[in-house]
Order: sequence, then C-alpha cells, then structure tokens
Amino acid sequence: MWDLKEYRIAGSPGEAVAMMRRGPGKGVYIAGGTDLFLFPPQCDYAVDINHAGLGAIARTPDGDVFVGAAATLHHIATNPFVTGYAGGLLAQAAAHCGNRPVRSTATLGGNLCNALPSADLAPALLALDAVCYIVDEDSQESLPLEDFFEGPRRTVLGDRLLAGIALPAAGAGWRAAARRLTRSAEDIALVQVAVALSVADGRLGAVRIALGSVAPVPMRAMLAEAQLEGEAVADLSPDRLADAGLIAASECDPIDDHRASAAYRRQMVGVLTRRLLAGLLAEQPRNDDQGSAA
Amino acid sequence: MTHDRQQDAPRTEVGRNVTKIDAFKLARGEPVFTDDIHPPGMLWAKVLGSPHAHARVLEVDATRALALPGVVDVAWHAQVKAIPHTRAGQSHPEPSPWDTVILPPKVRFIGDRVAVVVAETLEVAERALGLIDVRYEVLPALTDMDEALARTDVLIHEDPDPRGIAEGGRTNVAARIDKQVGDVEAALKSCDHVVERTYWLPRVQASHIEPHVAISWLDEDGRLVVKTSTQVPFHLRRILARILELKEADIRVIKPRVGGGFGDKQEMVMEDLVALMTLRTRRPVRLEFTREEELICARVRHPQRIVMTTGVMNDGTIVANRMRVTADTGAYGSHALTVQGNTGQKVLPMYPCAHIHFQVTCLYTNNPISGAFRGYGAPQGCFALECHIDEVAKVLGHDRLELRRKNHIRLGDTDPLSAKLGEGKEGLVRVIRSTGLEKAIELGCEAIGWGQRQEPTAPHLSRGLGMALAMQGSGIAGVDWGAATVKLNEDGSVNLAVGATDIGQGSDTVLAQICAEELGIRYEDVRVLSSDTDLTPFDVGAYASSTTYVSGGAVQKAARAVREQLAAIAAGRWECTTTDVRFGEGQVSGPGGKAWTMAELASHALYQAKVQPMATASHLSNESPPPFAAQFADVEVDRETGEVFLRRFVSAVDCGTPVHPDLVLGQIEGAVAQAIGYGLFEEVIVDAAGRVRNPNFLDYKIASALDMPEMITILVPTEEPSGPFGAKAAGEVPIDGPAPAIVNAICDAVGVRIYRIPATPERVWRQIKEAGE
Repeated sequence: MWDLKEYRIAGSPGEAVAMMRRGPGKGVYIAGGTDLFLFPPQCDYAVDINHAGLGAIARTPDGDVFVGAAATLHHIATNPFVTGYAGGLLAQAAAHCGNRPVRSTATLGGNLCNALPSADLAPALLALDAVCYIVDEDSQESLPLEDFFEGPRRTVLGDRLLAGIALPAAGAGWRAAARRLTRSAEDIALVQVAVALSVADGRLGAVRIALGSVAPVPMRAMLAEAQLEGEAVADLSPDRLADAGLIAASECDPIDDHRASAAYRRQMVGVLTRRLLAGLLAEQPRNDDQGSAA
Repeated sequence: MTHDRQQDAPRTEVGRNVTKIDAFKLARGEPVFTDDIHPPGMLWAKVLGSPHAHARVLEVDATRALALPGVVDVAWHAQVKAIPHTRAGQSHPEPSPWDTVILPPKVRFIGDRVAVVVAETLEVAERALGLIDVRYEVLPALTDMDEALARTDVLIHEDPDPRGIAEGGRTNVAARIDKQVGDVEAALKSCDHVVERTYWLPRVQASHIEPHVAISWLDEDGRLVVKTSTQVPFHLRRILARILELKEADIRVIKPRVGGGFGDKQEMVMEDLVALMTLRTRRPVRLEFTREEELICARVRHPQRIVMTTGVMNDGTIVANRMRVTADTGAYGSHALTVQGNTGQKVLPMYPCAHIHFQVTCLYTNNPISGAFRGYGAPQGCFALECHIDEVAKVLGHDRLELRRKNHIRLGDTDPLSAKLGEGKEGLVRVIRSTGLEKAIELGCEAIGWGQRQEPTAPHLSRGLGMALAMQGSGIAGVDWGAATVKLNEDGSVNLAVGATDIGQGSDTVLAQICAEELGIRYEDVRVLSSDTDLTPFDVGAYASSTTYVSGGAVQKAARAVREQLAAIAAGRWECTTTDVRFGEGQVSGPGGKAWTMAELASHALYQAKVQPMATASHLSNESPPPFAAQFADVEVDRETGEVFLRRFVSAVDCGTPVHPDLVLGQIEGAVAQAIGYGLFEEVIVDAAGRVRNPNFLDYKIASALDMPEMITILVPTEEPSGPFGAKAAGEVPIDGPAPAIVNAICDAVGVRIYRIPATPERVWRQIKEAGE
C-alpha cells in the first residue's frame, strides 16, 4: 500500500521543484509510476510531472535530439527523430524494456532517476554521449550523463528535477548497437552492453562502450574505448576486438546475486562487447559515416 | 433394460467446439470470482508469518495490536483447539500425514502461521501485524534434504507417533516407497551396458493468476458459509467440519468461478483461517494472498534428486530400470507420499521391462511446503527418464527415437508397476486399452522435421532437436469418484448439477456436452451448476486429470437414467416398448412415425404424466487409462552466452476422444507454456536460512507471451473403451514432456547435458565451458 497524504500536479518544471520543496515531509516525483508502484517509497506527497511540459521529443535548432523526461518509452521507441539517430539505438533500447503496457506508461525520467544499475536506457544513452538537463526553481544546468549517477538508486539531483536529455548532433550518424542478456524475455538485464562508434576514412573516430547491470552504476568502459579510438579498421583483427572485450570486462565491477554470478556477468561483457564491435565494423560504410548529421 | 445410445449414431455435441459456457460473463467482467462481492460488515484478515525457519512460539502478546483502532480479533495457537489433520485436500482416508493444526505451536518454515488478525480494513490489519509481540524459542533449521535425512537430533515433527508420518518422531522422513518388480540388481549384472545419471529438479510455483482467496460468513441460520477459490469443495467441507467440530450440514462451501488452480488450490491453504475467525467474531472474514505470500506460503512442486540406473542390451532392449528419488516436502507432508509415488508410477511404465525398482525418500525440511501441482510428480520423473533415455542412446550409439520406439508401452500391454503402486498402497492392474502413442510419435516427427538438420540463424548459435514421451492417468483408479444430477425442465432444457469443479479449464462446458450428447439434446439447452456443497452432489474435485473421465462418466450415467425415464413415459403414451423409443437431435421418435420434440415430451411428463424426469448418478472408475504425448523441441543455443532460444515446439497428444477440441488445445498449449518455465526459467530460490530470495515476478521468472515459440499442437484421437464417449484426460500429460524435450534439444545442439533445470543461460554456459576444458 502506498500511503500518500497529497498528490500535487505541476504545470511546469520550475513549479514541480517548488512543489517538491514545499513540504511538509518527504516527497517524490512521479511520471509513469511503474517503478514507484512496485516498491512504494516512504513519503508524504508525490509531485506529478506529466503536465509540466516534459513529454515531448524534438530536434533543437542545433540538430540535437531532445527527449523530455516524461516521454514514454513507447514514444521514444517510435519517434522518428530517435529511430533516425545513430541507427536507432535508443529507440531499440526503449523497445526492449518490459512489455507494451509498461512501455506506454514508463518514462525516460523514471528509468534514469531510479538509478538502478540495470536501467534499460542508460547504456544506450551513455554510448551516445547523452547530456542531462536538470532544472531548479528558476535555473537550469546540463551535465554529461556519466556524471549523473552516484550509486545504486543515487543521482546528483537532490530535490531538483531531470527535465530531459539531449543527444548531440555530432553523434547522429554514428554506428551503434546494443545487446541485453536476460533469463526470460521480460526480465531485469543480467548484462547490458551498448557500443557506438564513428568511422571516417577507414579509421575509427569516437568509440563508446557502455555497460549496464555490471557495476553500481551504468558505466563507460573507457580503457577499452581508448584501445580502439583512432585505429585503422583494417588493423582490427578478431583478436584485437576480443582484447577490447576483455579490457571492458576488466573495467566492470559486477556482483554475485541470485540472478547470475559476477564471473558470468564479467565474461559476458567481453563476449557481447566483441560481438557488437565486430558487427558494427562489418556494416557497410554509409554516407553519414563522417561523424556528423549535417 | 438399458438403452445404450446407438453406438453408430453420429455425435453432434461431443467433439463440437461449442462456445465455452462461461465465456460471455468472463469477457464482460461480471462479478463471478470469490473476491468480486463482499458481504456487508466484512473483516479483513492477515496472517503473521514466522520470521524463523524453525522455532517454538512461546508467547504471543496481541495487546498492542488489539489497541489499534479497527482491529477486531487476533488468534494464536493457545486459543485454538489443536486437532491434527492434513491440508492436502484428498479423499478420505487421506494418504498424507496428519501433521498440521490450524495454528501450530511450533513454526516450521519462514512464513508459517504464527497468528491471524482481523480488522475493519486491510490497511489496519497489515499495520496490526507489526504490533503483535511474539516470543520464540529458535531451533536449528534444516533446509538441506540430505542434512534432514542424516540428522535425528533435530526433528521437524517430533510428536510421538503422529498419524501417517513414515517414521514419526524418530527421523525427518515424511514418506518412503520401495517397490520392485523382478530383481533389478541381479538383472543389471547381465546387461551389456548399465547407465547411471543423476538429475535435479527445482522448486517451482503454479503462479495461477487469481491468488488464493476465501470469504466466510454465517448465514441467517448461523451456518458457516465459505466462498473460496478451491478445487475441492467437498474435501474442504469434510476437513473443516472435523477441525472446527461442526456438522457437515452446518457448513456450506461455494466455489464460484476460479482463476486457475493447477493443484495449488487442491490444498486448504487458508479456508480454515477465515472460518475460524468468522466463528470467533460472528462476522464475515476475507483473506487473500499477495503474490509474495503465494511464492512463500502456498505450495510448490516438490524439489527432487533422481538417480536413474538403466540396464540395456546391445540391441537396445531395456532390461532393467531403477529410479531412486530423494524429495523435499518442506515443512509439512502434504502429498508427500502420493506425489513422489507418481514420479515413478506415472513415468516408469512408459518403457515396460521385467525388472523395475522404484525407491523414494521424502524428507521434511524447514523449507516452504511442497504439494500438488499439475503433473503431480510426473514432470520430475519424466524429466529424469526422458533425459536418461537420450543418455542411454548415446552410450549405445543408437538413435534416440528408435530406442524409444523399440521399448515404449503398446496396446494390450500391462502397466508393470500398477499392481504394486496405487495411491500410496497396492493398486489395480492397468492394461492399455487405447493408445495413440505410435501415431503421435509419427505425426510429431513429421511436424518438427525430425532427422532434418535445421540451420542456425547466426554463426554463434547451434541448433538442435529434442523429444520426450509422456503418459499420465485419468483420475485415480478405485479412489476418485463423482456424482451428477440431471433434471429436465418442461421446455426440454436441462439443469445439470455437478460437484466437479470448473477452475477455468472448461469442465462445465465439457460436462454439458456429454450430458447433451447422451440425452439427445443440444449443448445450448443445458445449464450447469458447479459447485456448491448445499446444492450439488459430491465430487472429489478437480485434480488427477479426473474431471472429463470420472465426473463425465457420472454425467453420462445420470443423463442416460433420465433418458430411460423419458423412454418409459413415451412408451406408455405410444403403447410401445421402451426399446422402440429413439432419441436424437432434440427429437424423440417411436414406431409408426410417432415423434415428439423433447419439449413436447417434457411438457407431457410434467403436466400429463406428472413426474419430474430427474436422476443422480455416481461414477467410480477402477481404471485410469493413460493419455499419451509425444513432444518435440527445436532450439538454438548461443555457445558463448548459454542463452537458449526455443524456436518451435510440437505436441502430439492422445487424450482419447477430444470432447471439445479447442479446449484440449488450450490445455496442451497452456501446459507447454507452464513447462517452458519449468525447463528454462522458474525456480523458487531458498537460501540456507530457509528464506525465499525471489518472492515476486521480477525475479521468479514465468514464461510470458514473448517467450513462446511457434507452437504446433496435434490431437491424436483414440477411443478409450472405459471413458465417456471414448474420452481420456488431457490436463496434465502435456506438462510432463517439454522440459526434457528442451534439454534434450540443448544437448543435441551443443553436446552438453544439463542435469539440473531450469537451464538458465549461466547454467548452460558453465556446462559448455566445463566440456571445453
């Protein structure tokens, strides 16, 4: 049972933060509520942000794709800006969350702000250099998503509100792919790997390898990325890709639990990273392989 | 004189896919389930579960809870008379030990009943649980079945000579079986090969959509009424009468629509608690389990370890088979003897041979309670045997299909174990009088493309096929029986009252079809009442694959008796003999072109002859003919991650005459879906302290629509001479084969044997890795 004393509906992001600060007692932001109703937190009031103008997905004048925190996963999975960005990586990640009824309700903001190590959208967003927009009552700041998570169920937000994320224009043409390993089809991921990279003139430009469910927070495997950036594609033998996978595996910090062992999770990071890299490098060069959407 | 329905007459009602009798009201969301209607003044109950796996409850102080506004009553063991019984919900005399009382002075698993509270609202009842102060004497917990067997210094049931416990008060053994045909030990010495392997089966939960829920109240005469989501209303009434010391006539059990049971509702999981609190407070009381309580406090399939030893000759003849089962019944012995008995009895006869040895040691532990679950022991045994047949074939270098074909049971064969092992004691000899097994194997092989290599869909995947054969029973021979009442109305329509319990499987529909066919009327003219102990005759309930076969037999007899009454009335009017009266398609005809519609005859009976055509008939079967299944899996296995992708699944099932073919297909596909979970995903994980680690659907993974393969389901009808219109059972047999078929397919794909299910990605990965090292 969820024992709420008050349900507040915010009309704007700033108002939402003000409502959160008004007290008395403890409050929680709510959008889709799919996680909150599973494990209702001890709190006195909820601040509903579904009417705060954060549900939209848009392309900014700079060419970034902005996804509002209250955008549903189904909206993200089907929106043309998202499906057209970096091979549709984020759209696919959203499409693999839960099931259709859940996706019609659950939101981007909920997925990120719950800050579970297994957050389904996080690896794709990390691989795409996503930037978070955080609002206060009358100010706003942005920071890279890597800096957003502080630990399991902990973020930098405090009582501020995540307004949304932006996918930078520069990554729109990246090649990208992801894989999540589960026990059954609808399951918390045991291991998630998302890879994005750009190829120009036969060489790798940016390389992003992001991991989920294998550390206290969703994370980037930066040592593995560094091994690959700038390398000639022709030099990247299967062994080199396997090595990159092993490095990524060494960077993560998984736990043993009743879902899977740490050893298995670590091994799978290596396997999936190698496969995703190989798959992306085998893709035919595309017109937009210049690392820019322009 | 009997008037057998003309055998050559075409059937119009049996075999027809009629509209399911409750389809419209369920689709419309009518308030037809237990929890849909609450009586005025109803109290909400919650159970305080034990935090310890094994402890004496020394003192319960409910002062603080009772002081909470809205709390009406709290009961604990010192206030309730302790009358030993079993909650297993079986026929009297019950083969399960009487090792339970309503509120036990010693709790035996985490979640066991310590106290029950009733309050004006659910919220208050939940809050009150935290205000009950309990003093425990914590005892050592035994959560490992081997340790439970080895230790006699810690006894989970230590009362001297409790009724029915195998070694009551001396060891932790709840049940033992040791039955032998021939001499296995001697026979093994003369075999060309002896293959021995060990298989492990997990603890799984039925996960019916509607949880356990019961509401009780006192009617205007002060009688106790219990409306409950149950499979066994009559057993429930009998048990409640004894432990509450009431007359059976003063208890009325009503079974409304039920949202799935799968055996988990054969047990009295909560009805005694609501009844107790209603008697204490004189007010209506309602209790419903949460999903977490279902996964901790309801019943699970018995976890088992099975050692199979098979002696075989070079030509593939199986000479001797031994199955040794060690099982965990958990805190109480519900179905301990009979589920484990079924593990061998329903499974080993698939390959009859001169030497069969079946041994069971079933142990009490401080784990959640095991009990009845669709398949009732056979899924465990079938997994071991059907994996083992593949292993034997591998040792021999024989084809696994041909090895099965060479050895499987055939028409006219005698079930070699049946005489030795019935429902926990000597049984009745079973001879196979109908079997579609050979045809099922043939059609199944054709559908899956047996022998043809399927191409994997990606380079890191390997593809393989697997199969399994299964047989079950149709009711419990010489034990299960049911009764039905057929009453004709003046317009020719019929009311059918049965004690048989429709729990979603569609038995009301099937029984109406049997009634209509026998009476020569349309299904649409039958109305069914099930089940209400005040209004319907007795039936043991919905379990052991019995309803179509056993209860259907009662319906057929009752309908036939009514038809004989009608024949006599018509013959009297037409001045002919009753054998000249013919029934069919709503018509009654006599010699010389005389004919009445059923409505005309019924009207004549009620207003001219002034009699009520009506009959109640009982039916017991001394046979339990096995339905058969041949099941096939096509899987792809990721060699690097261990993931298993089930691509196609074929079931070919002989259930005798399918009375309602679409409902049979539904039974089969539902069973396959449930068994995919058993093979690949499901396990209630209990840690060494006895705590369930995954009591929710986030982490207890049942298969969902997204996990379903392409499913090809084939009916292989036969005509069972002892069944109503040739019918046998269909509810359980299709749940036996999928897990071994899938695991055999995994083995075919990647060459490693999975001995322990569920075959999770990590388990498969480890096996592949070990094989490579």
